[in-house]
Amino acid sequence: MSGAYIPKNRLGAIVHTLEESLIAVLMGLMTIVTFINVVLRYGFDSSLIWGLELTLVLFAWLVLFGIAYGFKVVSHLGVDAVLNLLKPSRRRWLGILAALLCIFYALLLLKGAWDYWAPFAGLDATTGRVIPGIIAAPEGSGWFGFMFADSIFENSRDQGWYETEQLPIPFAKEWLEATFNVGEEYEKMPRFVPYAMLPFAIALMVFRLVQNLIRIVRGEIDCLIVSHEAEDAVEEAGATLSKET
Amino acid sequence: MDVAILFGMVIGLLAIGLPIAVALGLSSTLFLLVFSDSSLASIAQSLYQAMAGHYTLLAIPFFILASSFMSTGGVARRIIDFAIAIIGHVRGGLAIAGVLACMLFAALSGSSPATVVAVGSIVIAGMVKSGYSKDFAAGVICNAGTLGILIPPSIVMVVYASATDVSVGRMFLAGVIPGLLAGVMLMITIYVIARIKNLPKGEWLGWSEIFSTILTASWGLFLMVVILGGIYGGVFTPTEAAAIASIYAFIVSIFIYRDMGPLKGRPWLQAGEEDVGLLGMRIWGFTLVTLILYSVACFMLDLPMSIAFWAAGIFLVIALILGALMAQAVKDGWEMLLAVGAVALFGLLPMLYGLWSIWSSDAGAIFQIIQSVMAVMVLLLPPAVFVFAMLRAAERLAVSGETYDRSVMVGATAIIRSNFENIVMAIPALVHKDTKHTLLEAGKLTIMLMFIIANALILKHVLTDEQIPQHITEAMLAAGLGPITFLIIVNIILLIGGQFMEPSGLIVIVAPLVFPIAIQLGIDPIHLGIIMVVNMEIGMITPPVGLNLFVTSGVANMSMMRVVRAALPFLAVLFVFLILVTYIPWLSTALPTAYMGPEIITN
Repeated sequence: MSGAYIPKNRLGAIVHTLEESLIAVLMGLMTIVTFINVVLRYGFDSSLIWGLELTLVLFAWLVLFGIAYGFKVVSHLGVDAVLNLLKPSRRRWLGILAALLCIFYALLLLKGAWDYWAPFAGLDATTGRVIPGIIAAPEGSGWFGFMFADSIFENSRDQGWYETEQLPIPFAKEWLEATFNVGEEYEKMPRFVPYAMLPFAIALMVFRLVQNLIRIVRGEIDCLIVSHEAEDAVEEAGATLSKET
Repeated sequence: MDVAILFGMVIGLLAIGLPIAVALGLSSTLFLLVFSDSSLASIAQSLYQAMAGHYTLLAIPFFILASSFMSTGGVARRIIDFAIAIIGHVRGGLAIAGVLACMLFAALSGSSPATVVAVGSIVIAGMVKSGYSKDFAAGVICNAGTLGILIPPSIVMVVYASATDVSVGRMFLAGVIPGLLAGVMLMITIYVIARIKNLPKGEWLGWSEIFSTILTASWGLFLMVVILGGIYGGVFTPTEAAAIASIYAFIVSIFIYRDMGPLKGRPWLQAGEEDVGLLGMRIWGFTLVTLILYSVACFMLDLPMSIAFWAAGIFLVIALILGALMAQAVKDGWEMLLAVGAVALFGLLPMLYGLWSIWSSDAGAIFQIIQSVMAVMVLLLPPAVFVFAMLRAAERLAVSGETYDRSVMVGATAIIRSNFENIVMAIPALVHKDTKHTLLEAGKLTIMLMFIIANALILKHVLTDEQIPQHITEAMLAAGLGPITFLIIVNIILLIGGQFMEPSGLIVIVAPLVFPIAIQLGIDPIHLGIIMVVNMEIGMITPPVGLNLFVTSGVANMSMMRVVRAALPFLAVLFVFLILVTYIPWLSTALPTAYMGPEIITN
């Protein structure tokens, strides 16, 4: 099923191309930056001091952003031994259950990602430990020991002045300073910029999982997993083999 | 008890069809929320830091990218040609050549399924055509493909090194002897089966065919030198080596082999010139490569560039004279004499001198053996390849009936034209659709693997927070466990786990559990790592979740159960191999200890 994803309409096709291009570009950039740094070190006794940090950020972006794409093209690895023993109708119910659990996981991560990122961007994290707005009640009151907080958002300490270690700011420096650092100067890229991929990617993952749930309900796909890692190549190779023999 | 719930939940979630990554992540997140006071924000942070905070793991995408370029770029096909030329003529030769090709490809790529796809998709069809049964072919390749994670570079070893803080370089070196041993054991088994069952054998294609195929394959095989030489020469870190390997693989597959990208279908020698121009092109091509190699060496060692020009110039003169002699010799029928003489002069004598100086020095025996192998590879092989490649080309020239002068001219034009094309197409190649496709495929594989590893890291945090490794260590030591029983238990856990989990994820989870015990019992961490890798190999060819089984069943167009049966006899060989590796630590530790000094355990 992986790679065989065919977008349904024009917008879908554009988004699909964008996603695939971004993955390819991130992968290529990581490689080139690392390569250039080695060449600079041996050839010119210098280096891009921010090269390593940039590569690691790109790596994190590639994987985080790609998780949602992986759900879309159904390429995440799983165990289908049990599923294969079941009747198709049962499989579908299990598929729906699995999708709901995945959405639950993604929502937990979404809250975590927001709470982690927001203070760095000068925004407020949410209250509550698991569900925003619901906090532990004082002993002996509330519902099962929980109660509503006064607000969904708590008053987080602004951490907009945290900077990355080496990354320079290529453009929009004044705007970043005015918006996120009360006009004070940034020497390096503020941390919330690379971290921004975290809430974005996970929100995208929630979106794709909801889409997948709908696709399972409609019967377009029957589960969330593929059970091996090289299906495309395998299918191509299998096809050429059957032609030859 | 709590932990039993945790693992029970992981298995339950896996069974109902959640992706492995989510099953691991969701279980650990819920566990942390219920039994500890960590926040969701810290879990999100560890997801981000799994990539941004692990420099070692950064090698994984690069190794994946390099092997994507290798498998689409026709390197596998050339390696297979070479393997067949070497050993195809013995009984069962094609199967043995398949194992050899898997071993060579494993030395370029870090993943087992990639090795099966690259080699299997060509070799299985070839074996069926020459009269082997499809089951036998699939069984051989399915097993030999597992060497992909044992012979360095290896993604699973990178993950183990990252999980236990041992050196990636040591792990890679440790895999060499076991990898060779496993390959040889498989080959011997095949040979015995072939003698009993009277399997077909190929024809002996001659020395010049062997050296000619080495020459074409050497562009790909040189990657081994780049990766291993770079790491052990201290030139770059394993991560950088992997990045350089991907750039090199990109250049070779697009500009040299031209099996993909904008230059696809435009060979170095144009149609009609193949016979005439080959000799000339090899002369000029070898000179150019000499110039480039010497330039890089001068650049790195801060020597004047003029040395490189002198070297290339001298080489050109020798090559032109040898070419002229060879063209004449083929006509008059004394070409073998000339070739052997030239190899003796340029290769054998320097090699004997090298061996003599190695064995008269007082280095350790293992070190001397390593150096002797290096001496053969560096001093004898290149001249031999050069001379026999010239012989091959001279024979082709004789067939075409043209003169030597004309060949030199045609060769020179071909080299100039092709390099001009390469320069013009350098930028378009970066954005060509084949390049994008390869980058995307590598990206997808990286995402899939790292999503699992990142979540396995969260699970690992849970285990270390709960001090599970310490509890297990105490319990096991209190039970009076010796190293041998311990290793048996590790093997059993990994064999069972390996059937249900993706290898990298399993290593992230199991390594921190067994590592402290192993240290307590005095087991070498490198040895433990190799045992784990061999277990993962077996896990890949045992159902229900054997990645290699699945890939092979796709490549060979066979049902999964049929592949399982076909793989069984060779699985027995791997089991014997696992026992050998488990109880003879020397196999794993000899090379790293000889080369990098004894392991210093800091824990």
